[in-house]
Amino acid sequence: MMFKLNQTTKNIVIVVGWGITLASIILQRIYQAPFLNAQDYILIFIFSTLAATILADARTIILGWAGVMVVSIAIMFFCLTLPGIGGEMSEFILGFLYTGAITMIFRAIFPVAIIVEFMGSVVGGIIGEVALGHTT
Amino acid sequence: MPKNLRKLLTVAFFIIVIIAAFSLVMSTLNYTEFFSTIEKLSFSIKKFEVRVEGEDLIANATFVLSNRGNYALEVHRVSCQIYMKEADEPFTMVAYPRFELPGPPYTLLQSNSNFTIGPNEIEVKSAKISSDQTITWMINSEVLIETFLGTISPSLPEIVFNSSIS
Repeated sequence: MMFKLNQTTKNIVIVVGWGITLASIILQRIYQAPFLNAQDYILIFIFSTLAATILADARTIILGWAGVMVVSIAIMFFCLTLPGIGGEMSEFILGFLYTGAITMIFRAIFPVAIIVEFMGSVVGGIIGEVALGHTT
Repeated sequence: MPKNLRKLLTVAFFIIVIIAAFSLVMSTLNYTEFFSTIEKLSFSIKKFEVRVEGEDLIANATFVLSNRGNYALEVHRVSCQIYMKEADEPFTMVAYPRFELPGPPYTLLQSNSNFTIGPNEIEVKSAKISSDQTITWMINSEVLIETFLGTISPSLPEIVFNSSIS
């Protein structure tokens, strides 16, 4: 059975997928080390380029870029505080989890990851518009 | 051709998203397990004997730190606050020993394993103790652990027990 999605829904699905992948790249690193490295930034750039190429339309890309930040920050915060949700953690661990999550997210994405993601979006937008043609 | 290429890119995009989502779930479960291991750390007393030497009380104590989780933990030290009371009196703090675990710079406490701390001679600040008295002890402790987020020192479960002076 095939689903026929309208363009707005497709764009939302792409933005959510983009957010999930961005959160995954960043979390894989901050589960092991406090800062992202060059390899992570390259992955973020390549994937943002790919996502923006599919979105193609400049306005959608700008809105999508903002949406991706919201989605990925929400996913990262949820994952980093997950040990404290539903479990019986001590006050100390809970405090550590919540303050730690905010610090880790801020440290990981500001400012380099955001800039790299934006640059990837711009490059992807250009590729989408010029090389592939805007079909939306 | 561009439309086909766009479809191809979209398929590649969603394959990457699925892989990313899967690895996100797996690594987050790992992360959750790490905190669960910290919560499961247990601290118990293997031996606690108290004797009088002049006006001092000396406790000969051996503790056991148990890692009952599925993660190995890097432990630097255990700090205790030892309280005692006689009969219905309130608890008073009588010692605050700190046990550095062998390194350097830490002891790797493997999953589902124990580490014995001691025997240790702990000098207990006390004045009026009659040797036939039963004493209630309370030990609050915290452990300094090295994590990928830096060092943290969560509290260990409180221990309350009775002993008499030999």
